[in-house]
Amino acid sequence: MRLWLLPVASGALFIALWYGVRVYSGLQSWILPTPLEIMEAAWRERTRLLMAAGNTALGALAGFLLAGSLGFLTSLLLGASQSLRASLYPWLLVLQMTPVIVLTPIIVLWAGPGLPGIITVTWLISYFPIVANMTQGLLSTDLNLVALFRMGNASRLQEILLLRVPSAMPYYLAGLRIAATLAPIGAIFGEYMVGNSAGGTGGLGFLVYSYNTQIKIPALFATALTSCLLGFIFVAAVALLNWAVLHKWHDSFERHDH
Amino acid sequence: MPFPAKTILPLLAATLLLAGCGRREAATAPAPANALVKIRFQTDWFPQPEHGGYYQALAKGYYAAEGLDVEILPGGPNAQVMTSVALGRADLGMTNGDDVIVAVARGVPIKMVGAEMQRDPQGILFHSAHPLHTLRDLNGRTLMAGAGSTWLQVIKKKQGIDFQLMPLVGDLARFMNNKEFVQQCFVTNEPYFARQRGADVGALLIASDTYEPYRVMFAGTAMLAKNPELVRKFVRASVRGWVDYLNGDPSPANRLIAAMRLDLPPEFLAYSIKAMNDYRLVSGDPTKGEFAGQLTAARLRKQIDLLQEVGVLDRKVAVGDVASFEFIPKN
Repeated sequence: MRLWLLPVASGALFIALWYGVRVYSGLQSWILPTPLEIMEAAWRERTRLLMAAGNTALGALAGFLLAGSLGFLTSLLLGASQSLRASLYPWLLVLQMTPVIVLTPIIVLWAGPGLPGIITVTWLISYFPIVANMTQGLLSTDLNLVALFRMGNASRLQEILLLRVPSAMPYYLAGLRIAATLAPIGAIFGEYMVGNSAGGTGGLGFLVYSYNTQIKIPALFATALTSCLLGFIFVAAVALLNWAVLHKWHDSFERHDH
Repeated sequence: MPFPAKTILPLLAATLLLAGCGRREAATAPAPANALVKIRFQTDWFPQPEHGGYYQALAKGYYAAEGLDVEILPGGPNAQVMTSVALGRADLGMTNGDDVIVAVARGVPIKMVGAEMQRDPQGILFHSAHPLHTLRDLNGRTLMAGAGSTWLQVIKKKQGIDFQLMPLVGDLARFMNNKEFVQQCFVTNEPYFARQRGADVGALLIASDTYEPYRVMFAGTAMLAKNPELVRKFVRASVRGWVDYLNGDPSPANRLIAAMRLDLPPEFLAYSIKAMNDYRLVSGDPTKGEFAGQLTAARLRKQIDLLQEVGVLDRKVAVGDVASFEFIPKN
């Protein structure tokens, strides 16, 4: 049996089960819509969903890029010296342990409502996995190579930029991959907590409010589906970046040079 | 090591200089003849018909006729209307009158300057099969409501009744499933969507003789001290907008709202306007001498006393601390 048949079969089984529950429970569509009703709602609301997904993607991308660049720089600082690491890392953990939901009113107060607040929430959620992974990567450089650099009288800066950063790339990209799944979630959560209806539709988080209060439950499921697709796009983009950076030299890719 | 004074003084001067920059002076900039003065007005939620009067005043040029260039800043979850105005991010805002009283008691520098609605549109949504005729009928029922809402404490205390509470999530799913369920709503909003899904529902306005909060416009005290004339103009044009929105042709405002809320069907806007008229939320009861925009010291006094009694005020406040009556347009 071919491997790709398995998810198709389990998916079909799941949908059949879904229809079964709907038919035998007698639930109305605004409690449990069928997949067909959800697809219909997605089609009916397609303009709104696409515009909202665009707004959410904007917030998610800005927050993600901010987290990616600041995370990279923070890790360089943390990786550069043990005393810096000792003085900063515990406080980063404190910030990470603080639930974002508690911080949201404060974020609105400081960053302002709308897009600035949404980007801040997204950044906060996706920043730490990047820092944690990249720092670990900088510290995990092959000791033999470090010894080689030191034998060649390489400066500390050369050691970091030419050896530690490249060898930390797989870690950094693993961090980015986690952040890519978190960024759209962060942006939607941000919109739900601090968003507005900018551009006529707001983002997907705004649609959750709107559909929920209007009891448009199939459209709510369609919003979930759209969010899911947006997440896949983010993850796919990072997977592509991962391939571009690593496929020539890293063992996680099949290479033909050995 | 102590810093020598000659290092500190220039630093201090630079700090003071910088502190002066960046402050938004939108409302206070002297306007050349014929130029409109910029006013930022913060609402409490996404654009909706319950903000219709302001959008009508904007669309029909009532603000411009007063020499104001008004920007309506839409709110949303965590809109923090009152802190926004207190921090100078907006010049004026609107919210429930009770919230202003509680905030003033907490030291937030704002004051009511006019009523948007004579009664807050908060109500209780019920199925007609198990109706509520007065708030006393809540006795023994289970109510889904915003936890910590002041009106809950007030009516429990004043009416001597008790009921179970569930935190308000904002969806109607549980309500739709249970004919005995009652939940907090805006009388101008949820009944429409529940009826659309085939439920036979009614809504009881929470505002009653015991407890009748206004919905108000308010300004920061700095703005009131510096630019009372702008406040007067804003309130006058807004009340004019409200009266026109509810009695005239609402389509200018509705077009503005619809452009920002693609999700609201026109029938909903019409329902909401009808509900505001049916409950006389803006015009009030003329037999009691009420009119659009009016705030009375007597009602605010009663409101303050009630809030004091249930213990939500941090300190004693006087009517003059929470409201200014000089901006209210005469009937």
